[in-house]
Amino acid sequence: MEGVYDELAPAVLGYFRSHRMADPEGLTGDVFLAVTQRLHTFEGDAPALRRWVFTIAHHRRVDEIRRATRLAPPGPPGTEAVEDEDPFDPALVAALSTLTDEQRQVVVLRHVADLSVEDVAEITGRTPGSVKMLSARGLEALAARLAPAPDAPAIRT
Amino acid sequence: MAGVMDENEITQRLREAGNRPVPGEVRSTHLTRVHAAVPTVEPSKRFGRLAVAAAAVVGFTVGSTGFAMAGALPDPAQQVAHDVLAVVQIDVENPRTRGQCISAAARTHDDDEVGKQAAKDQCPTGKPDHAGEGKGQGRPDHAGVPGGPNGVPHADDPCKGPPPWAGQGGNGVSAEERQAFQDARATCPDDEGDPEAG
Repeated sequence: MEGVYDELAPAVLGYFRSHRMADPEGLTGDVFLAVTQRLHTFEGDAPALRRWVFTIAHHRRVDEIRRATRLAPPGPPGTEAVEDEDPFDPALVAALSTLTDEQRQVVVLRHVADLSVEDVAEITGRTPGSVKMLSARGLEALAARLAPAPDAPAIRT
Repeated sequence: MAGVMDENEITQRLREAGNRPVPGEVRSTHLTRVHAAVPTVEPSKRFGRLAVAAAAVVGFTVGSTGFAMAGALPDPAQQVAHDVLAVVQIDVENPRTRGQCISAAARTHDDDEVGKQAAKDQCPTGKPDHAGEGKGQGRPDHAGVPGGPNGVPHADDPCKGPPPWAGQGGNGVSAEERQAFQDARATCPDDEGDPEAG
């Protein structure tokens, strides 16, 4: 189990941080607790394990958002309380928060979690074509947000 | 000219976001929680429900096959076993043929217990060349078909095999021969469960 943790915990933590979740470390712990409890039911190779773990992480994130929504008045998207004091690429996180939820989901799963298009499609319940489109648009938007100069061309692919 | 953030740079930063190590104290906390939550499973559960189910199926199949091969199952179960195991070319008794034969034997020798038993012993089975145990099969080498093409086996031993008139409707056997056979048969020891010597 420690091997699984060491292999995947950085990506899971990055996943929750990229979504600006209120307690990314706690949520990461929740994910690996669930993984431990269900690991005996898992069968598959390393890519399948990564997909399975991020499926759990995705569901945990959705549950946490619903819980937070019930407990607090809704606010603008991407403004969940960020208590993480670790300077985790704040510019990148801020840029990600400007994406639509669908774009952010796909971009984070594709590139932070390092999942394939097919895996992302399965986790999010979308088609691979939709994943590719959302990913492309999300990266374009990030490039525009993160461009160093205000008048630089926003898109180069 | 101002730089441009291209897609490769974006994806690289995103990838780095997923590779930052977990702080040591956070890792310790997580692993402590994980170790505390490791379920205490019973040995049977260690192998998962699928493995246990598979073992149960195998055990049932092996056990029931053994019973089926001995013809020890009730007829409905025996029939199922015959049909199922025939798929994998495992021969067990087919109760249809045997059942029909036994019924016919009972009707033909309704008031002749010796003859009836002898006829039943010669009822066909689905397993040629096997000297089956139990139930006194009395199966000859030609698969026990009464009145087989090679004549009646054990014709010189009234205690074994079918009576000479078995399967022939009594044709070709005089009443005196029949009575003599029955008298001789009556003195035979109980051969229930005695396998055919062959």
